[in-house]
Amino acid sequence: MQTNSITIALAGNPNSGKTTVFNNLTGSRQHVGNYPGVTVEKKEGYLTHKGHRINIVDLPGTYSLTAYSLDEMVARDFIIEKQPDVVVNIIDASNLERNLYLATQLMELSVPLVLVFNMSDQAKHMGYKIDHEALSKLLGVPIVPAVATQGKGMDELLEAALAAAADGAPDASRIKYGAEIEEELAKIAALIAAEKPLASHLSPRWMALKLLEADEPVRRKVEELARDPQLILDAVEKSSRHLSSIFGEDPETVIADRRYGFISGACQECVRSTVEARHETSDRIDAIVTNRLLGIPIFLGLMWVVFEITFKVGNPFMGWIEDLFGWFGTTVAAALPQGYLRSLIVDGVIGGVGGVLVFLPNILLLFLALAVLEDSGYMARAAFIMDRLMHKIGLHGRSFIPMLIGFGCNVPAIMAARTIESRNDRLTTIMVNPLISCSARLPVYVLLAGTFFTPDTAGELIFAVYFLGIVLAVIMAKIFRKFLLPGESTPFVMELPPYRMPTPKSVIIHMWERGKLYVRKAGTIILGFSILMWFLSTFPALPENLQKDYDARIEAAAGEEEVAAIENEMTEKALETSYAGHIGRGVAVLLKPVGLGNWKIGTALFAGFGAKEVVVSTMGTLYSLGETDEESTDLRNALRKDSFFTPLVAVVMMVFVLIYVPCMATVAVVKRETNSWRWPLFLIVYSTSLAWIISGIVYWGGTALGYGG
Amino acid sequence: MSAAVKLTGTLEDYVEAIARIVSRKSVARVKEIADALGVHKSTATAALKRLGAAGFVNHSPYGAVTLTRLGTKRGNEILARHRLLRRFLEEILLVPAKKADANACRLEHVLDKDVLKRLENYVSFVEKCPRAGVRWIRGFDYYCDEGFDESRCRRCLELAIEDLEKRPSDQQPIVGEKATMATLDQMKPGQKAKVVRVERKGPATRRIADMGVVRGAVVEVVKVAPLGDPIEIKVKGYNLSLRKSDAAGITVEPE
Repeated sequence: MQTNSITIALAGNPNSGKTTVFNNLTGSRQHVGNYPGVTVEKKEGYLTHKGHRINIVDLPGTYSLTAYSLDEMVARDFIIEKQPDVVVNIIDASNLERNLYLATQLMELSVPLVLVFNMSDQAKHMGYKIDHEALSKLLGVPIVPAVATQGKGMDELLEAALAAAADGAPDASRIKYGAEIEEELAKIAALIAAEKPLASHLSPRWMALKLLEADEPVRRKVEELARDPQLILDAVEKSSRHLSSIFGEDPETVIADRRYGFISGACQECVRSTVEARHETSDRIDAIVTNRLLGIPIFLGLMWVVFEITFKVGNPFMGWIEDLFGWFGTTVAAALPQGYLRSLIVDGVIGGVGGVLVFLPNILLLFLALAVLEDSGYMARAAFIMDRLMHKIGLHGRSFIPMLIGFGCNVPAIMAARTIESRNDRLTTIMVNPLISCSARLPVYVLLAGTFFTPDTAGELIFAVYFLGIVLAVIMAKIFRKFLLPGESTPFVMELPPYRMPTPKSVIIHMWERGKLYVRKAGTIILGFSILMWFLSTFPALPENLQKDYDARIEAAAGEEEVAAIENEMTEKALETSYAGHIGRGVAVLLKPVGLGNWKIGTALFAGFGAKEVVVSTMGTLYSLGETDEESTDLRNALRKDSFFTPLVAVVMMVFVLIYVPCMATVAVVKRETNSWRWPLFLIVYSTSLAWIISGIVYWGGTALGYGG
Repeated sequence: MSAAVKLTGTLEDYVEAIARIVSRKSVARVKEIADALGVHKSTATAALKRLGAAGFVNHSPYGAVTLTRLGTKRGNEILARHRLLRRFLEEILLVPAKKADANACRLEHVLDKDVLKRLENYVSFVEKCPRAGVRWIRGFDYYCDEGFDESRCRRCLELAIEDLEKRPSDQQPIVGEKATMATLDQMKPGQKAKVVRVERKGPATRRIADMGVVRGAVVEVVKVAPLGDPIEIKVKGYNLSLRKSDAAGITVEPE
């Protein structure tokens, strides 16, 4: 440890204002990463205070330090392995008893500790009078009152932290668990202390306590390091049974019991409440918000608002970015000589970067809305209301919002899934999200349905496709939860924190972090894919003789229109002879059994991996029509003329587009959110297979029913 | 009084299974009954036919199954018997819960009615006699592990007399549960209760305990979510939501 730099770890319950403190202390000097090997986020920052450089690590918010939850294990391991100079525990003073539960466990870890009684204004407002000195003496740990949202107490916090780092760890055995348990603890601790290899910086008493609490990691440690692990484990087993028979409950429960007993006792001595402390305003708001009748309408209303903000407000910005990059592209194109370099830069790089940034407004706006909902405390209510429905599918109440956002775009939707605690629920939500039909697929539906069906039927068909997506999402969610990602999801035991006014600062920092992460992490992958797609669609170029033919025809052409037509034909041929075209033909072979065995369809679907809207423009190119969109009558006519396309084929293609591999941006964020390539690969494989199967069913079913042409 | 329709052991099992299912929802389906007993649907259907003929159940092919008055009566008898045996095994002999349950299932087919009655009396005797009770059972557990330790006998008897002199009338049933207890999921909004016991069901209960729902904590049911689940309770000064299935494992004493 350098003399001039110390590390502070921030621990605390969720909703205790820990993040606000972190933001106060580090401001913009923070960055987000991952704890090695897991999908838990690691937030770090730093500041300089009186010549010291202070590194701050914001540990995941936890209620306890058991080994049952990934977040808790990460927090605990960080404190034990990385040994920060001091741990600062942010406590919601208006919710003291429960918050102190974590504090007691931190005390037992024998690490320098400071308790910060945050939200002390709220506590006072509720009528609590806390004697900080007395409590501090009782616990043996310094206490600093604070109101983080107003920036109060931050200096005192730092002073206390520096002092604590110098003073060392508090006395860990302040908390007594009663004669019976203490007796057993002493026995086991003695055995552990006798084992030299186990005597690390972890106290024997702590390990004994953990073993009685059936803590797996500690148990494994004993098995691995002790010379005679069985001796210790047998003693634990015996003590455990003995205590069970006395108390009628297992030791774990009794220990939790006793901790709260200790806390209760301490609070009774040092905290006076003048009124029966309740969060009045919060309760009143909840009377309406989670009301039996009003709860769901209010929820749906708010969801609609979030949706509108994300997409309605965001879309103009998306348009600007597209235009900006389009302009950029044309300008650069004009400046460079024709050739591969120009094409690479304009189509590949600029197109690619544009493709990444185009999602940025949506993401920023979505996370702005979500940050407001989360910080105010409403998110917990949303999960509360929706849990029953989600649980029936095998998911969590918090899964609803990502699903809903998926109707707009799967990219931010999958990023929003990070609020789901349980790993399995979260992964399932991410894996089925692409089945929710995003807005980029709509042009494809409009084109296909509009070309081959009357407007009314077209509308019904499109609705049916959306509905199919939802049904499949539900079914696949159930299947995944049962076979692929089984296991008890973390129980739905969730705090409903009191409503609070979100601070603009924290909301904006939150939103900005998400945006940055997206651009940096997902962006690089998307750019990579864009360049790859560019390469595949450009090479190999038209064979020389063909190129000469076209050039000659253009020379001989009479007027702009004819030139344009010939150029379109040339572009089509170029695409046909490129790698992408070859791949398209390969795809067509694979799709023959399900009725989509046409190389134009194959190529268009392949291009759809870049972005779903591109399916339409690719079709346009392949019919030598140059630039088209879904409304284009030229394209519609071309499709009708093509004898391969029947109404049935159109429907099958719609279904295929609904289900098959999501766009590369989605794949990129899945990689980012799951921190591995395993899941995105699985997503690609399963979605394409499923698309094949379902399209097959539609095709064969349709043919059997006589719709085939 | 039912005519002495002697049900075979297996048929009794059916009645018991149906009675259990029916106590949770009002009808039982053949598939559920078959699953509960680990038999094939066709086997179950055959058994149900015989029970129907004997007047214990109402069953129409492919339909739901309900118990007749006779069936309900018998079902309740069987359940009560099972509960008694389980209590004996679990709380007096200190057999682990799962084993107690399984053994109770077997025992109930073998013991005569009057022997069962004796057992019932024994259980309540242990509850009431001041020489017995929790400490005595603790001693039994110690004996199972360590053997008999005469040196503790005097102290044990002294403590028994102390307990007797303390508050005899106030004595809660030492073994078993009070009639007024309920589980948290049964409470209605607005009701307050004190937590008596949190049933151990794995990580779920650990989280619940960490959040402050421990023995002695006062909880208040605030409301039920609009879709019927989960419920919101107040505990240790803040609001917590949990699913009814988890709340069902928390025994409370309503205030």
